[in-house]
Amino acid sequence: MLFNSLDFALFFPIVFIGYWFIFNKNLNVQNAFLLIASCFFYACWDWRFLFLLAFSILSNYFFADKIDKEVRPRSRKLLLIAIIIINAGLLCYFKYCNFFIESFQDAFFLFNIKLNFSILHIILPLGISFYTFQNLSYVTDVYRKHTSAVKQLLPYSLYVSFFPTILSGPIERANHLIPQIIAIRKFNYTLAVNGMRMVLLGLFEKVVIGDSCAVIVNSIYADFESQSGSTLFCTAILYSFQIYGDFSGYSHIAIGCAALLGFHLRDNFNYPYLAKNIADFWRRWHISFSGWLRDYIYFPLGGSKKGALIRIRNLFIVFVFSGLWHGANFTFIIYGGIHAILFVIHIYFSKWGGSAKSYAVRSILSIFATFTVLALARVFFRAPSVAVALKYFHIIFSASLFTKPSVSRLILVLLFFYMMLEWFQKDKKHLLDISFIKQKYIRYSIYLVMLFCVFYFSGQSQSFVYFKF
Amino acid sequence: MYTLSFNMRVFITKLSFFFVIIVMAWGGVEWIYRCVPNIYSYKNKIVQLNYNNCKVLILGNSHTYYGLNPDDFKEAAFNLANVSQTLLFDGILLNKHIAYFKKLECVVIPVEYSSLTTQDDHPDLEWRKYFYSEQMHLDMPGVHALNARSLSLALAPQFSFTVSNIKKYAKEGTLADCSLKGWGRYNGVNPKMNNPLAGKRVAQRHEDGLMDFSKNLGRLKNMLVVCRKKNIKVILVTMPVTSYYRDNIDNKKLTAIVRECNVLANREEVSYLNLFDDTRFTNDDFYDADHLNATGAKKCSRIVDATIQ
Repeated sequence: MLFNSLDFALFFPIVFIGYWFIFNKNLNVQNAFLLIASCFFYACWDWRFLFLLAFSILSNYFFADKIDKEVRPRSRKLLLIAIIIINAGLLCYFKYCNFFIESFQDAFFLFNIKLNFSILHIILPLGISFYTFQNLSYVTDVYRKHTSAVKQLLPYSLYVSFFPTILSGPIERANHLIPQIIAIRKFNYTLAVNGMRMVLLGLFEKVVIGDSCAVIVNSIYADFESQSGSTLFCTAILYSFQIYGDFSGYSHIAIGCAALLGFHLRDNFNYPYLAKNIADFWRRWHISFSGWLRDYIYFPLGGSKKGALIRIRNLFIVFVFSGLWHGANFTFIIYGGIHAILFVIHIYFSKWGGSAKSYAVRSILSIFATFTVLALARVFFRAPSVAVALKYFHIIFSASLFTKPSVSRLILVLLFFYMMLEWFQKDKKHLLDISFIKQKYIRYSIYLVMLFCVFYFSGQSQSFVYFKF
Repeated sequence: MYTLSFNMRVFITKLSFFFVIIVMAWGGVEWIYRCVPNIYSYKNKIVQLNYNNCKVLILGNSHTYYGLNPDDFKEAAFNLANVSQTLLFDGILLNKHIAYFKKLECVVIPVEYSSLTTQDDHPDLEWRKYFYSEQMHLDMPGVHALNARSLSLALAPQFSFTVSNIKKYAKEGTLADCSLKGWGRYNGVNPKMNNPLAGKRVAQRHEDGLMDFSKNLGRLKNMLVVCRKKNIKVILVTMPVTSYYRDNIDNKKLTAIVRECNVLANREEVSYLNLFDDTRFTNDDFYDADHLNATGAKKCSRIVDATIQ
């Protein structure tokens, strides 16, 4: 069941009515209802993986409980290692098994040794990367005593399987979401209105921006070898908008739906394409994930406190890991590596400041430069193999880069206009945070125009790119 | 009984403003699709008027819908083709109507470049099954009461398609713009859509990269069996296209399609007419990259008719 489908348009109002009007008398009943709705939502994709989800919830719940009760540091550590291995094992099996088999075979083939391991036919369970990370953050926080173990299974199950977040995040922290789950919720008008705005914005981003760009990007990628460098350059930019519309759209709908149910989720995007450098970008893009990487990998490795070389090593580990998290392919590893290199360059060259007078010009130039570099790096993200990505770059950086691109100029202009709107709204929580417009009819007109655009561009529901991660 | 809190009441009241607008828009579109005759409901009506005299039945997609004019056939003919009508729909339509045609002697079944590899769940085609089910009364696989889209035609196609339909209705006063014999007319040449770039774009859109013909060949064979049982002659035809389109397709795939059609035609003892590369057609015979205009349709109809005779 996709957020941008008719099925969800029927599902959510039913949940909303049941949640606020029928099962609202008792918190446990209300949570149980939400858990059942979440399971139904997940089962709509493949009910068999509910068992995997249940196993993941139960194992993390019980291990966290054990860690919490255990006083001996060594035992606590062993328990933590055990549950990390279980979580990582599940993730590796479902997501990386074939990648490792193929890489192993390729490595031996370099030495003329042919291994014939057959590839396993494994279905990647939707959302496994997201809920596994959520589980890992919980057990680690319990181990670090940043949070205490949840005493009841129901709130924890809901924390992991909460339907707005289970498939593609935001990756919530236990100490942020669980207190909300165990507290009595009252309908919050401001939160709900903001939630509706975010749902509308998310649909607009997904259906109007993401899916429209996807049509162009897919058709050009299907035959990229016969395209000019300028067309491929524009396509790389369009792909950046596709993935932004797609993922930011998903996150906004998820946060909006949760808000309508009285939950306040963490922000996941904060105008990432207005970032002035790579560090700024990672503070704005997939915030819940970059925060997770920082708190559970970068800091434990020593962060930036153990000298320059260790810091560089840590950055590479974090970014290569983040690349690999996106998928089992060398393209993602290179993508992560590029980000690490950009980060290192940024750290050591950011000390060269400019004069205060040139600040505005420098900001705009930095935004353009950061966006362009990241858009080009995303070629590795989109390409099915490293060879294809290199071929793509070979065409981009040829003489044909200076020819007229065969991509609709209108869509590029509209996207530029969209970025301008983001620029004007950059101090607001999100693009549709228009409560400062006092005239109701102007606000409503904006909503209606956006609603019309969503309907106009909608049709066959397109899946979200991040589902495959 | 639950009483609405003040906040909830305000929220629902404001939300209902948008809800009412959406429901009204939905109702309007639903009304248009159900009450204004469109190509599906209209063809379903006029095909029945041709049961008694039709001798040649033309099936297929937009290539035959625009490309074969029943008025240019010597015998009474009827064009049951429709835009994006795949072999799946052709088969179901044939099965439904064949028993009612009293004088049917020949069925023209086109096999186009994309016919044998088209997938039933292709997003451009998938929504059409709701129209076939609702307005042509066909038993379509996958259309059932639990599927929300089967309850509302307004929800089936892309809204942009609906908007263009509304514009068309406002401009032309009809959504069923075919002749009484089911033929759709394209006049002249549209230079914006009949040029090398457009040809490439359309060919790319039609290219699915698939080479597995088994499913659609099976459907084709079933149609031949149905016709043979009724002693009805079948002409398989691959319709002509512009050179702009032809230059951008996968020749290996085309060769495989033509080979399959020839094998099938020989085995089942039916005629196969391959007009894909036919030099009798020039680019001026086409409205766009792959659809014949009225002049081209006349030429093509006569060639097909000559084959029938």
